[in-house]
Amino acid sequence: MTRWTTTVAVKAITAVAFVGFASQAMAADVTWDRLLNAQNDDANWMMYHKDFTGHHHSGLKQINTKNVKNLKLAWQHNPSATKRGIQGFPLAVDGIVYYTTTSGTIWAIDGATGVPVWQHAAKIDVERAEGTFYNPYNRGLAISGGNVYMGTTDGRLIALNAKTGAVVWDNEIMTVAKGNKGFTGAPLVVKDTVIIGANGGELSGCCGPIYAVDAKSGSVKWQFDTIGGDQRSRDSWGNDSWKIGGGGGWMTGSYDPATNTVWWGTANPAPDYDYIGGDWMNNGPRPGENLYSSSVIALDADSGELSAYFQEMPHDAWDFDSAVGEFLMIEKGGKRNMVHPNKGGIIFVYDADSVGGGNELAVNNAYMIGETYNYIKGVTKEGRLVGRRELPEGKHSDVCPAIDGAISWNTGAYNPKRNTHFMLTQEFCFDIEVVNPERPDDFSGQAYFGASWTSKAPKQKVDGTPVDAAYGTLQARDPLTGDMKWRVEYKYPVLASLLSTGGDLVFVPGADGMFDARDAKNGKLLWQTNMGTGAHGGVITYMVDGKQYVAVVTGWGSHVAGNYPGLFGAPFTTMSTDTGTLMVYAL
Amino acid sequence: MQYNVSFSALTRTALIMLCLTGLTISATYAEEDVTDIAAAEINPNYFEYKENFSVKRLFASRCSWCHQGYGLKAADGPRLSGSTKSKEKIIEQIAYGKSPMPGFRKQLKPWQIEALADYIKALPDVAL
Repeated sequence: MTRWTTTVAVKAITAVAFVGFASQAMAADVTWDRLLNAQNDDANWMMYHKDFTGHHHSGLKQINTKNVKNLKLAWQHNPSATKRGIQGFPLAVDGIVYYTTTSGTIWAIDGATGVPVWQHAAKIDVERAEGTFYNPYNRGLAISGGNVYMGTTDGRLIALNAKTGAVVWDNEIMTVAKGNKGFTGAPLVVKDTVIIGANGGELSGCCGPIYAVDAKSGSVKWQFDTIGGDQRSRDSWGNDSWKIGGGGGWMTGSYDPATNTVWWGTANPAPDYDYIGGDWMNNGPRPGENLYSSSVIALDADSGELSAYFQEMPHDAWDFDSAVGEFLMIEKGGKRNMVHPNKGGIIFVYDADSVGGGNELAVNNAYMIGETYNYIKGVTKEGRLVGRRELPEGKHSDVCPAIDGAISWNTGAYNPKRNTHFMLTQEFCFDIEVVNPERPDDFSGQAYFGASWTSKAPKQKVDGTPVDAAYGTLQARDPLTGDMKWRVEYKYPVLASLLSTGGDLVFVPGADGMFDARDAKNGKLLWQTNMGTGAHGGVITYMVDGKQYVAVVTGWGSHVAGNYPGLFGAPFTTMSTDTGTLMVYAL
Repeated sequence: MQYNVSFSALTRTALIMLCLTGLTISATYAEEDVTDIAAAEINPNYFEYKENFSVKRLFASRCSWCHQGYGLKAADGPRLSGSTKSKEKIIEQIAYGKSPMPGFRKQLKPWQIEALADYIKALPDVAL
């Protein structure tokens, strides 16, 4: 781990303010105390996961199972061209909705009327950002102390005045010295610190850093390297392959105030796939377990020291990383559990108090929710993979799930009263040819894969039931035991996040643009509207002047979405990948 | 800004031999993978830069994230087989990208970019 000090570089970039059009509502400062108690503040959605329970649940119940049939569009905002759709998570604070669009544009909108308040378009270093695959993406922001914070694809973190959009500071946090990477995920505020992780699991640099940045000055307080940062990690990458090993933590993690611990999921190792097959501990492009890739890490929030870890995919041979940012804090029977979904379709239930000392996290339970997987035979309750299907050099047919995983990067939701976790799966596979890729130069940031593939429908479920098309599921389970309460099948796998509310509803923004509200008790469809294009971003609810709103972003186009025309044909063959809208509904 | 590419210096004789070889391979490999056929036509052109060069291996290492099936299947990126772009245009796009496609001029050597362009042009107009 390295301590950094960075000179504050404030750039005089002026936001576009729509003075005179804004309503009376303006954001008050979001203090640490407000964030710490955000689970009790249902009128606002003040961080990516709403609050530190990570439930994506609001107690608001003005819109409920009885009246949701009357839900209608209140307003919408069209932010102009949004390459690859809107992928961010809106925030709603004291009547203002904030959201991000392509490549780092932030909008502040009056939450009741939809009238723009201000807009800021970050001036991206295109030369640098467009050296990676992730250049159009931005998945959200954080807010505290009168500022909003956003990372950029050229490695910067920007603080803007929440009321005016004026730049407070704009700093390059990550250089290209160890590979060209940047930020696509939303930051997380912990006390007076803004935490953000790097992208680039598929890029041959290192070290997949997670940064803690001083909220007031923009200087880096600590940096945790997800690969190569300590001797244990380096020892798990033979031939110094950590220098080209990818890593990162590109989605937003969470924080546990009880232990002062930041929980974060890490990216896959590079290269994707390993031609050496079963002898991966001794040979191949990255011999060893490759710590701390495809892992959950727990960090001391003040120092960045590794408090605990668990590698969900030892020597990840499938790109089933742990970057999903969802961490559900669930207390039951005096035990505190941290529930985390892995891209491979596994739910891990960690003992939230097994942190400290830098050792492995204790796993209370683990279970599969994917339905068509064959990359492993299963997982033990202790979280260990059983019956790995290695993919040595050559052709392999019907590997399931495909590189896109059974669970994508968006989040599920949890209804605490019903003790029900709503989760999505995507069920499709691929044929793959694994090759021995050329080792790139150290820290070069080159794209680094070891295979070519073609996505396809599964042939059967794990239980042997024949399948003739790709599909998706919405599952309602007890998050600790995995017991299924109900299940709904979707023709097109849903890629957006879910929202749970006190009105006993679960909101589902569909891939085909249909926005569903379902009964949390049994999954029954209670309301549906056509948003005009697919969704793969966030969905929230908030209240202004006593009225509840539901806000969802639309827009289509991503690595996972790119499979849909081939898997399903229409409507995805003609679905635009450069549009998107913020849609807001109310009674 | 124009991207400068160092083109391989094939002799006229070698070109003729390769064309003839290509025809032979196409006929012989009628039941084979068309990407293998395209690669077999291209690989010898670049052996002077790297012994046992494999353009498919290079494609898998750098392009497969977006272009499935060695370029035969549209996914995150478009299908590449049957491209109507000129070799020069393909070289330019690989080098400079076209968002969301990244530019590879800092990741690949000029002859590697040219080899990929040759491979794409050699793919028949078929889709998976």
